[in-house]
Amino acid sequence: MLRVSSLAAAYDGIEALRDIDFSISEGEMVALIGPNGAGKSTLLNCLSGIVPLRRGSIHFQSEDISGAAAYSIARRGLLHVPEGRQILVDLSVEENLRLGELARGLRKSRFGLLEIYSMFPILQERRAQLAGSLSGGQQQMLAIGRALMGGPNMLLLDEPSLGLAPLIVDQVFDALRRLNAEGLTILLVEQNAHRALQATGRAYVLERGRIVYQGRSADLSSDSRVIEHYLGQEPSIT
Amino acid sequence: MGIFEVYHPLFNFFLLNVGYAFSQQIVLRAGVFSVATGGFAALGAYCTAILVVDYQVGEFLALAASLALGMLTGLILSWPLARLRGVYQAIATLAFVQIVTALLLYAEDITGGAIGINHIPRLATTWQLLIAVAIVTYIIFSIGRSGIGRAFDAIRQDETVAGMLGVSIRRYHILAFVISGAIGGLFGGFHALLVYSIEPALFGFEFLAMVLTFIVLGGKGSVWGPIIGTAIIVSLPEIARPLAENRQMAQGILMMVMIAYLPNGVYDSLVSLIRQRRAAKWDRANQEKSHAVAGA
Repeated sequence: MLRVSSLAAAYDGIEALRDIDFSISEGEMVALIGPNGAGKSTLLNCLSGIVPLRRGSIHFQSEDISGAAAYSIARRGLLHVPEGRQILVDLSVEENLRLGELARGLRKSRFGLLEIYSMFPILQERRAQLAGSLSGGQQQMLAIGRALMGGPNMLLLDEPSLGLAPLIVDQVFDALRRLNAEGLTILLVEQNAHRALQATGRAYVLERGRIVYQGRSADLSSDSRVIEHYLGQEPSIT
Repeated sequence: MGIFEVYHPLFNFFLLNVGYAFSQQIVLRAGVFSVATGGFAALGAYCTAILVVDYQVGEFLALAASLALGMLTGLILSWPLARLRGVYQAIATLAFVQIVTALLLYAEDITGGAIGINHIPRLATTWQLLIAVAIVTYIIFSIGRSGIGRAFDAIRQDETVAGMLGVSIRRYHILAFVISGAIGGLFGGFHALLVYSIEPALFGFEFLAMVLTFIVLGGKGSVWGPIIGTAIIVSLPEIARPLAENRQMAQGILMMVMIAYLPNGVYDSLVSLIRQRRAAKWDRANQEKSHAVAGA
């Protein structure tokens, strides 16, 4: 479904990603973990067309999308839920969800307002309120709901657990697992490596702009090197 | 009827300016800092005046030509301007207005230069203006409710996020310019048919500042903002005579106070206040509910 070959990208002239090769098949849920500053967000931004590539190519549903504009990638159904949620705080919850429809174009979506509201009932209760008045967890649900409204073929999630209470993180991950079980392909970027490896089937570890390990999530969570680097100290904040 | 007769010209002036306010609002809503409305209005006014005075064209055809000219100019202008942002867009559109007024000054044979065009028949009626304003209000209202309005909101608030949501910023900026040009051109045409004579200076800096004030004062989020903002500015000199004598200064002070204390305008601030109240009430109700549960 998604194939990235020898991708490189730079931020302000500094090379942030090198020789990135990976692919994700339809229906998979894959984690991308790694320390702060490893280039995880940059990689997602490359995939969704926000950061230009320096080298390499990206194929989505066997179409070459390297160098395509962000809006046209979104309209193909590769939808990005950005870090820090990035909802529009001056609009109501429902207006934010309706914004998601813009990516749909002529494609059909399994998700309408009803489906989103039944997945996250709190959003229905607060649908007329300004999105800025929601709690962090509710904003994350709104951001995911907004992307789903666009009828994604694949979802890119950047740190969905960032700054959320553990109980809320459970809710968000439950929703993601359910979506994946229903057939949605998901690429999940997380600093919270424990959670990410529990939730996914396969994982890549990114370090200083390169993929250093890859494998089944279950194997990685028992791999001594990975444990030492990423699981040894359970992150206390995230 | 007596009172209405006294205020009739003022009402016409109000309707005309509501049109200009919508032309200004639509670009601001899309996150484009354009002040091109003055240029569109000038082109529309001269187009209608020349067609009616020199070529004896009917007023409706002339107004339609002004609308089309504004639209076309908006389309052409959007091409280079869609790449610019913020203050650069403001300066570039200001330059556009200056080019238009300079051309009107120099093309004396057609435009009458600094003297302008006089003896324009006063063909516009209040009913026509009212209908035009009603149609434009309806269109702006519908756009606000549609996907286009949501895309404009997204672009204005965060272009990167808008891109992630599948919004082509360039396409929507072009659309905003085209709509702004069409409305500006049309009401420029009405302007010519309302005031007997037009000159380039009518559409200079004072015009630009006034139209921006309508939106800053009223708010850009809905159709009510421009209407309320225009009503306030148009009626101020009538309410208090000293305000009329120091019109510019009064407007300037009003602008500064608004920007400092109600940056979203009168109407938009009111709406968000009501929304916040409602959210707070909802939260309180929920807390009481959970207390009740805990108590039981």
